[in-house]
Amino acid sequence: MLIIGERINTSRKEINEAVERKDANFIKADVRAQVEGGAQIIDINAGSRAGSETEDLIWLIDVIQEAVTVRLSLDSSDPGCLMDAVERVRDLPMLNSTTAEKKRFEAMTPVIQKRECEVVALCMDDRGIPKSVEHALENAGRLITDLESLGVKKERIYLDPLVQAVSTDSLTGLKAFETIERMSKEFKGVKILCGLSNISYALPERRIVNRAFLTLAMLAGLSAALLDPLDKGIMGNLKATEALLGRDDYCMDYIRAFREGRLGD
Amino acid sequence: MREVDTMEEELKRAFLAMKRQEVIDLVKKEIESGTELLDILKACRGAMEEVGKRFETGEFFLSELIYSAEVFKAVSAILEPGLVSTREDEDSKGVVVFGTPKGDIHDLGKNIVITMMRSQGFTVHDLGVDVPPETFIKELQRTEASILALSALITPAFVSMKEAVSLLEEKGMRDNIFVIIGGGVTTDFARKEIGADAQTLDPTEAVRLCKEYGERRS
Repeated sequence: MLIIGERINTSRKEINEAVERKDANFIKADVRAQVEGGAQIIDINAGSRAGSETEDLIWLIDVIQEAVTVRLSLDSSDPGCLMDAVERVRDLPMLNSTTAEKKRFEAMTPVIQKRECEVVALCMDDRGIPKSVEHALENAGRLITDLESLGVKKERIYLDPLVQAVSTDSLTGLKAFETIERMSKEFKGVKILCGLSNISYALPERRIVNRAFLTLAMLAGLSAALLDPLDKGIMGNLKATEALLGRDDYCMDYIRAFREGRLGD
Repeated sequence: MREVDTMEEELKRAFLAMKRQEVIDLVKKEIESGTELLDILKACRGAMEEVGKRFETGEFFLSELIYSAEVFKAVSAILEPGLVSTREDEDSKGVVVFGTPKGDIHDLGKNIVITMMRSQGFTVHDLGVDVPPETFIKELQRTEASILALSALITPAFVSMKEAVSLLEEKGMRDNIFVIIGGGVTTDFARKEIGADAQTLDPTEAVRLCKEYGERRS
């Protein structure tokens, strides 16, 4: 499982304040902790800072690259912002994200062509967020074809099935797992990424729902997750699931995480 | 620091860090530089002994014990071809006949103890599971082993353990064979009932008890 650390998001109060006062040390300490916790990529989202998003994103990239050597994911719905920021990234950037919406894809095209990158592809199109498994798969197929025609290698595409809340439609979970399973079978080589928190929207004790979702999504074929690596509960859940899925020889990784105090309830 | 480290220390560090490739590389380096194969083997045994101790105290987990044993097996496979002549006779810590007695088919514990024993220099003849008492006796006679180890997880095995001990007495072999039992259901009470010499639930202790027997004997 590829772990993408989600903490550097200006919609979180303490991150917003740190960006506001240009507190590089605060940001550096946070990303160091995320990497120690197991993050392999750091996601950066300054989308809440309309007006200064590009400038703030670039500042964050520079600060974070001074602190850690892991790769970065630039998380913005504004192609112009990504266009300016993508050059600052030292190693293979992840662009988060494009969709199959005509205008959005067209606007993202020059960014994707600007340099080699990984691309998160949200499986929605101009009809909106897919309601059915078939619709999601159709969007996925089109996104893969279109991205490949721009020169993006299969293994650098991360499909996001766009999971919705189970509180409003009790079949949401099942649909998500079926989508993930079929994506992993029908689009070999492509990766599948999920946010973990939509599923639990408007339910109490959301963390419990998120963890159960992660376990089942991993079984279905999830290959990457955007999460908080400092949350020992979800990380413990992830490590245990990896071991149960036969991806952790002799449970070494699980045991190491235990010794380093990275497992929790 | 590194250059003053002895081979023993380096190997132990790699073993305890669960670094399979590092252990193998170190072993190959020592072979190339002409170190006696038996000395390398002994150093690896020392490291395994430490792994066993840490497992006994609860610091290490079962998967680490099994992993280390696998690493040790890999090392043995490298050293063995050059060792064959010395190993069996001069260096063996003792010959053991081991099996899960008739009535039981569990072998996880048995296999762990066997791997530990082999890594500590014992020659072990593994008869597998659901082994009838007579088969144990025949194997003891054939191999001239001095230790009979019986492991079980469920109680039906007690009957055949007892039969095996009775057969040893009948054949006049009892005084020359150390009988050790172990595994889930065994207790000291069961040991007395069966007439075995030792009982344990701990792999490291099993190896130690057999070593101590060997020392008393020689």
